[in-house]
Amino acid sequence: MILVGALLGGIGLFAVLVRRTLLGVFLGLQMMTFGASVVLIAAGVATGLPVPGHIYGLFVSIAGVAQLVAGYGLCVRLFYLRKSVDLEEVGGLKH
Amino acid sequence: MIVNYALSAAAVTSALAAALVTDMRKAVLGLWICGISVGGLFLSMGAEMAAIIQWILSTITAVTFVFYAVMFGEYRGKGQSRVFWVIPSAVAAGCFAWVVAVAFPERVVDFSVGDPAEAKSAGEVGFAIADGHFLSLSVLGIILLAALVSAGTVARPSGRTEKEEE
Repeated sequence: MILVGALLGGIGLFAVLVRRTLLGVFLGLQMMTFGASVVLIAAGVATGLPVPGHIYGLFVSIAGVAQLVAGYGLCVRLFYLRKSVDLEEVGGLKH
Repeated sequence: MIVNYALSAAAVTSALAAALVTDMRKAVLGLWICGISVGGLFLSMGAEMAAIIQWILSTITAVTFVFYAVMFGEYRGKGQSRVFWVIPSAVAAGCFAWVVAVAFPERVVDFSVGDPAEAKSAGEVGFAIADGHFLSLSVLGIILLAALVSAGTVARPSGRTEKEEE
C-alpha cells in the first residue's frame, strides 16, 4: 500500500513538472497530497499505530486544501494581470 | 483483498491519465476517480473517517477545478495526441492483468495491511484529535483561515490595473 502512495506522489510530481498551466500544477500537487495521505495511513496501520496515522493523513489532506485555496487566489490574480494562467506568464510578473 | 488491488490499480491509472492528458475535463475526471479510489483504500485500511473526508474533499476539489477551468477558458484542451493515451491504457491493461492473473492469489505483494473489521470509529479518531492534537488542529484551522483571507486579498482587483486597461 505504501508503494501505491509512493506511485501517486511520483505521478503528482511528474504532473507538476510537465504541466504548462497553474491549474495543472495544482492538480499534480493534489495527487502528491493523496499519495502522502496514503503513505501516512498505511504506515500507521502497518506499525500498529492506526489512530496517529489517520490523524496525520487527515492533516495532510486538509493542508492540501489550504494550498489549493491559496493557489486559486494566485491563479485569479495572474489571470487578472495577464489574461492567462500559463506558467510562462509567471516569470513576467517581476517586470 | 481483491478490492485493494482493484482500488490501487484504479488510483494509479487515473492519476497517470490525469497527469498526461491536456484536456482539463479528462484531467479533473482522472483526479476525481483517483481521490475516490484513495478514499476506498482508506476505508479498506480501516480509516473510515479519513475515507469520508477524502471523498468529500475530492469531490469539492474536482468541482472547483471545473469552475476555475471554465473561468480561465481551459475547460477544453488544445487537442490531445493519441500517443498519450497509449501509456495510461497500457498501465490499465497491465494492472488488470496483474489483478486478474497474478496478484489475486496474493503471492506478489501483501496488500493486506489493514482490516476493515478492526476499523477505528470516526468518534475515536475525533476524540484523539481533540484530546491529543488540539494545538495542531488549531494551527491547521488558522492556516486554512489565513489561506482563505490571503487568497481573497491576492485575487482582488487593484485600481492601477483597472486604470491601465481604461
